[in-house]
Amino acid sequence: MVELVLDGTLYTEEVIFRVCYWFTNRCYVFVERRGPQEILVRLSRRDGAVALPVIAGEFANELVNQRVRDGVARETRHVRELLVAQAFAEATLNQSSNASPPEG
Amino acid sequence: MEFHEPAYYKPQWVGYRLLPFRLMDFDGKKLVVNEVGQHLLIDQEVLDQLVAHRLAPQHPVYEDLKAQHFLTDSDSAVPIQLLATKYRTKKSFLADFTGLHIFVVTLRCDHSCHYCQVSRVSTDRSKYDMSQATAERALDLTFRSPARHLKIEFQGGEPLLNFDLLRFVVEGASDRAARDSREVQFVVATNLAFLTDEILAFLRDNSVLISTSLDGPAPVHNANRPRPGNDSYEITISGIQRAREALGHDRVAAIMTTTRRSLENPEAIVDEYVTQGFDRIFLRPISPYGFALRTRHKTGYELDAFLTFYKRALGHIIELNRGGTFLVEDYAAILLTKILTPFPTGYVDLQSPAGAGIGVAVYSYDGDVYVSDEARMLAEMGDRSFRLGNVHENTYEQLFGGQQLRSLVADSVIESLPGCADCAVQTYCGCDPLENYVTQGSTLGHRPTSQFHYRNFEIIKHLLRLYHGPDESVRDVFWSWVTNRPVSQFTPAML
Repeated sequence: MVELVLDGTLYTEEVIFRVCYWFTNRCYVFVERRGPQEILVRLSRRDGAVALPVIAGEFANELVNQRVRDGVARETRHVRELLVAQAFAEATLNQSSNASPPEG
Repeated sequence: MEFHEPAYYKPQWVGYRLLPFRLMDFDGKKLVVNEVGQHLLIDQEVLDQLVAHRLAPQHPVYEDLKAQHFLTDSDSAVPIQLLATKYRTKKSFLADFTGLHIFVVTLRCDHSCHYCQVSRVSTDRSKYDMSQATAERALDLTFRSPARHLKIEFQGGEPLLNFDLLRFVVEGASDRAARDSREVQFVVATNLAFLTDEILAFLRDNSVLISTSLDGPAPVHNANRPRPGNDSYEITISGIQRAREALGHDRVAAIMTTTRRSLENPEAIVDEYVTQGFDRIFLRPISPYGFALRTRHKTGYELDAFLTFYKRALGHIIELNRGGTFLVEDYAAILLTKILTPFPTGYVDLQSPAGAGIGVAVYSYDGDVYVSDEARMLAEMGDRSFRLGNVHENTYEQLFGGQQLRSLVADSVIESLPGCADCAVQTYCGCDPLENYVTQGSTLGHRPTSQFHYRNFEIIKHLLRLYHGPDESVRDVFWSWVTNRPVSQFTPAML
């Protein structure tokens, strides 16, 4: 088993759990809050294919990636909502004038 | 009068705003993909500067990021409008709702294909034929769809064993389409064993396309598709030739299913398609449904073995194209269309929300309505979880507006699914809630252990790797597939 103590001021719970999710195929993942700003993640290997230190390193790198994703998503959230809303607001629905009336 | 220097007239750069995008590691770089699928490969350093708002406008990548809508440095609303237009285009398939309607006109069949996803019965059990009353009702439902362009596909068993009913549906649908000013396309999925001159004349006169199975050269095909006489390959080849003579060369298509026997023969299978004059091949993996599940010991294989097969076959196909033979790999073409253009593909098995029920509906011989062919296959195995109802018992609103379908759709919006919501290649991918249910026990699925995820993720990465590789001729081949024209027909402006 390998343990990672994560700084809650660097990584939110959401970021941590999103990364944990992607490692549940290769590891058993145990998450525990150690303190107000500290989260402990324990990784236990599910199969013998990859060494735990390697997995831990990949986990750490993925935390960084996920934090960047999270930052971009937060910063662009309103733009994304706006463009999706605009896309569907201007969509012309294909209402068939010859469609049969509702049944019963 | 003298003018100022050009720099005087340039708008003052005051920084930029990020536009929505996702990212992932990709061969030592970062793959960034925006909300409508435009993508770039950039260095880590560039990404760091980009998200920190420190990327200078003079940087070589800056203009690419701006042109591809990863950032905007003006107050203009045009970038948002352009993104919205492309987003609407990508999702435009939603407006047509159910465009593909599958009529299972019989379960009778003369083949016993190991991977058959249908619990087919022998040819003499006519109680497994669709009745005219059921077909009439299914047509009522088909024409309740708002789609202006409908597609009716006949499946079985072997649909030509119930040709009279097929003719009834074609004639009925054509009449209704004419009244409604709509277009309807017909396809019959057949093993060609029961072709007659009368049938061919009808198919020709009513513009019915033929789709048949060709798994590869004779040893592979016959081993996969046993029938009395063990001559499925010979029947298929002579049927293809006969159908082409009657209907036209391009009115006959073939599909293959990859089985364990196929894995050692990717090049031979591809060459068989070229030999038989096809310009398209669809490298499909076997699905975990129906008889395929029961005969898994004969047909099953590890997913990695399929991916190896796929990459070998794709490499061979690319080489053939480079040598002047126009041959499209359909699955790659679908993915490349999603990667390189904003256009929808119409492929219901790779879209968000999934096409089950909303892109396709299946009317079984007994009137039961399913969200997909896979749902019908599950029902044949005793699991009717994805049966929407019956044409004789339920209204259109109950079948297509009920809570069952709404829940299934909600579970297949990948923009909100765990794992998919953050995925860089989300816009290129899709969802199969039924495969999730069959293989993982829930329609939501578990992405890290999902074969659907792994298969598509690996193929998408492989295509991106090839596209961004050093060989420009591969990019030409890929664009020839997206535009459906040989490279030799490209204009200078396209090269």
